[in-house]
Amino acid sequence: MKKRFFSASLLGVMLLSGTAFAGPKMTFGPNDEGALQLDYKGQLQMTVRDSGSGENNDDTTMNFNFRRNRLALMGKYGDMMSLYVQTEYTEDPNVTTLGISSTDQGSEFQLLDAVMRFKFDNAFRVNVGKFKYNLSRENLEACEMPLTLDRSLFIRTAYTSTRDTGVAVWGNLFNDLFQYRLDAMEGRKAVSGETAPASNFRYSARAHVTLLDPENDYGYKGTYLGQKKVATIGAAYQFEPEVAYGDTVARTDKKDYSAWTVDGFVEYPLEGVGTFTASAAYEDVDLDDAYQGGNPDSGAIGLNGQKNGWYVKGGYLLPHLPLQFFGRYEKWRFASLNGIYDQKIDWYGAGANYYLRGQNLKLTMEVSRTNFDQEGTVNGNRSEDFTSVVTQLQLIF
Amino acid sequence: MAKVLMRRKALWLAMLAALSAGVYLSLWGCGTSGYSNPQQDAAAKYYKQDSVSGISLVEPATVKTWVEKGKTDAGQRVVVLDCVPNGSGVFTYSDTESWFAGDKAKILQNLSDQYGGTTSAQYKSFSAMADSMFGHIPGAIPSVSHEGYEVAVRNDGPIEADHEVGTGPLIEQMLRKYGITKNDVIVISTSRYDYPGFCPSRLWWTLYYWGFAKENIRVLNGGNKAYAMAGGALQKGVTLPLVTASTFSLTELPQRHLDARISLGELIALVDSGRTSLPDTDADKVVVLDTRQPPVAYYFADQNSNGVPDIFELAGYSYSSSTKLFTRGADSAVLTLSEVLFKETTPARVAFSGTTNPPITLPNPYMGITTPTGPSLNGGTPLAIPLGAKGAAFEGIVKGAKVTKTGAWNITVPAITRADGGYKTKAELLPIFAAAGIDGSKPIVVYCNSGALASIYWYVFHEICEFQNVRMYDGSWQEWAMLAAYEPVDNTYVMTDDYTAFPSYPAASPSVVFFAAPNQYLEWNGTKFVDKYTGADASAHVKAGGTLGGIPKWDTITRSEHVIFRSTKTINDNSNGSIPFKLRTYSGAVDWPTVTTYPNYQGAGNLIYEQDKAYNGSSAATGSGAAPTPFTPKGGGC
Repeated sequence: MKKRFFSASLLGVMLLSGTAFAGPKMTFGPNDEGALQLDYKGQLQMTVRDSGSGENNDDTTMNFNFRRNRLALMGKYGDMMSLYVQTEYTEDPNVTTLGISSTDQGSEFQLLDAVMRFKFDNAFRVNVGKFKYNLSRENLEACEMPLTLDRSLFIRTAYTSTRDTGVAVWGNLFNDLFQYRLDAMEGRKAVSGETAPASNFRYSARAHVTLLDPENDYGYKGTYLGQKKVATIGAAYQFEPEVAYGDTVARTDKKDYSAWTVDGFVEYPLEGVGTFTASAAYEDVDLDDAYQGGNPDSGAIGLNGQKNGWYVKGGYLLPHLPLQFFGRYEKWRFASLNGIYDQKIDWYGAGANYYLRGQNLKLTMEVSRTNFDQEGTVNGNRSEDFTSVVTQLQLIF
Repeated sequence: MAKVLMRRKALWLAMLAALSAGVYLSLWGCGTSGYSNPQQDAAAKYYKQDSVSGISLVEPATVKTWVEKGKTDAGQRVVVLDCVPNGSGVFTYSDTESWFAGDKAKILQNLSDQYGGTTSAQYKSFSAMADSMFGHIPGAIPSVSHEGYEVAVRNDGPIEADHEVGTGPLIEQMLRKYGITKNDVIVISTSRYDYPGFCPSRLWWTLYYWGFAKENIRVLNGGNKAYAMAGGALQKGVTLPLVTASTFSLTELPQRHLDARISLGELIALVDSGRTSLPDTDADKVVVLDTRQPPVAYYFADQNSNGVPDIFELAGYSYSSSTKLFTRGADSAVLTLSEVLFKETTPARVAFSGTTNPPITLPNPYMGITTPTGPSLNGGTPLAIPLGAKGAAFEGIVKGAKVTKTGAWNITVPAITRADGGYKTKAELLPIFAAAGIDGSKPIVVYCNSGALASIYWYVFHEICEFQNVRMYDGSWQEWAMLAAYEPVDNTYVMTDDYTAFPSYPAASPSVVFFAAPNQYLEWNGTKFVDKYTGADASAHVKAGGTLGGIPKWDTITRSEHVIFRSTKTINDNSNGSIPFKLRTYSGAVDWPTVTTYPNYQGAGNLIYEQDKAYNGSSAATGSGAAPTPFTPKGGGC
């Protein structure tokens, strides 16, 4: 009985570290070593943007859509092995980071995560499968627990989304004061020489120093809702050789990929005053100036191509009301974006989270402004300033 | 335990300090590093020599060296284009088989055709020239502007106009035909000497407009004449080099210099703003220069008061002030002034030059060029109204425009060029233009009849004087003066006098027009037409109509000065038949020619700019492939 209670408690802790403790769960095995939990995670958004529609695309765009619509299966067997599988269904995500799509983007059902986790020791753990790669803290923060409406819109890197496929080794040292992460992942998908100059793995190294209450999980959170006192500084570097052609037509001018970032996070609750949260990061994505090539690979330019920038965000959670105000400012510079070289974007937004049942049931509203340094339409790609208002209801069940 | 807590507190404070510093530094420095713009980098590299003073003008000695080596000192391939205007059908021989070929006999035949016999100044100036002075630079390719590549019929919105800048597809066809590539050095010269260099300057302007670096397009200073005078041997015959067509595209050039041209709509907006009419001292002044070479200075003094202008008192001829005709004493043949000046074999001519005026005695009752009556009659500055032979509905000047020659200044082509046809130096030119109130401190717009002669001034201002803000209105008078929403009711404001019907094809420079009677001019005062000098209401002599059918939006009569209508066929036919020379005034080639207008066009009047800005290379849609139709210019001269 004692053993079962212990196992159940451990499962609870493990699963809680991955997501909210929400959906149905079952145990199995002779001693209930095995456990499974199924969660639904939904973020329904209503977006009102002051442009993107009408004959001149200057009219207001209104949209209902699921930002995230997921089923997550979490499991473990014993103390050492666990599993995390998550699916996602997207349907016509026509309202994009920088504009409104001219046609429906279609629906997609995908296996977003599928990771086998092995914990040999707190200082030596291995993840295998498809999961978040180890570069920016922002990307490693749980999708359902950002401080602001969502994570930075510009933090993703080239040729991957938020996840990649491969192997990661990580662990906590010095009484959880220090965490290291190393991974070797797919990076750019293996394609023939007609498309990419080589097929190499992408290698990452990340470390952080965390003070006060430790951040010792694989994933971070954008806010701990005052349940922890956290101060963490991290840095990471990523590299993939010969990832793209600078001239895709002539198949010449091979370019390497590298990226680095530094980030910091502080959350500190003050009794009777509230919880203060602050976070900032700088990230540089370098594709060896592929954008200057004769016919650069499309993945080397654009939103996720060569760029550098930073964000800073802050939040304040009231002491006796589950209401959290937040703001975020981002400044990014893109080598080539929408046909414009050296484009700069200033993004700033502010809003509030109202936690009806913690992160499991949360109402968020955010007003944001996206400003382009060089406005215009080049080759049909529009770069015009716009304002968005997004209201989101999040349910984790 | 206390030590641990102390250590943690210290770490915590250090952490906060580091974070604060990081945030502060990020915000303070804005924290992003920039990227270069490959297009700008390529442009900077390609145009790196553009800022070199005088880079686009090359002297004959340098070209001689290049021709001998076949390349520049830097190793770039050299292509020599010999620019001439006319293909076959204009005169007895095409410019290629006469001037380019250096065939003196054919040249003289054409000169005789063009200037009226063998006694014209133009004929004589070349009949005496050594045969070795004619021909082309070895290896040169003849570039005939009226083949229709370099200049084209285009529409800026309200009218289809001749002689506009060539379209992207046409220019590409032309350059491909010549085998030209982006990095070649194009030497632009001319074998035709009676035109004062405007064919090379127009082609240079065209290539610059479309984006060539100055280093790659060079005007041979003084053309083939200067080349020969510098010891270069000219080649005879239509000996064309073997040319392999290139695949050059204008899209290879990093940028375009579309501001070298001013559209119809922009010029109208400038006039409407009043900036063209401001005094030279006003900071907002825009200098508009009518570069047509004027007939100024041929005033008709009558110092012996016998009723006959002194200038017409020619030995062997008698002149009738009533009929305004000459009678040849030898055989009593009746001749017009034009015939006397340009057809007669006897030296019945007034000595004139481009730089010296005959003496003028004021007051002068025959001074039809300026006011016949009014305040400027005594001591006023005579005004030279440039009169062109190109198709137009009226004559005059763009409101506020300067002309190239007045009593106060002379900036005609002969005044700004050397004896060998080359341009004077910047140091020589600046005071000449300063006398006309042109010092480069204000924006300058130049025009002529068809944007050819004006290109000389554009080139001199922009490339030699290094004035920064210079634009050419290539539509020029043959576009401007065909935008008429009004037409004459009677002959009051019409060039009815025989002697305003200048020679059939005027000399290039100086052209000459004689006025034997006081023509009257009208202007729009903002609400109605008034006589230029008396201020009397002239509305009764004008009615709505014209090429714009009375729709005034794009009308330019109201935006011009010293307006005098060209005769219309109707007016001539219906006029008093007792005046014998009236019917001879009208010329269908240049007076009110048929044009296509769009009076209700509502745009900005800069369609050519928009088209050329958007040009993205030849394709089926942009009309590549088909060669243009060669054309014979209406009228002549510029």
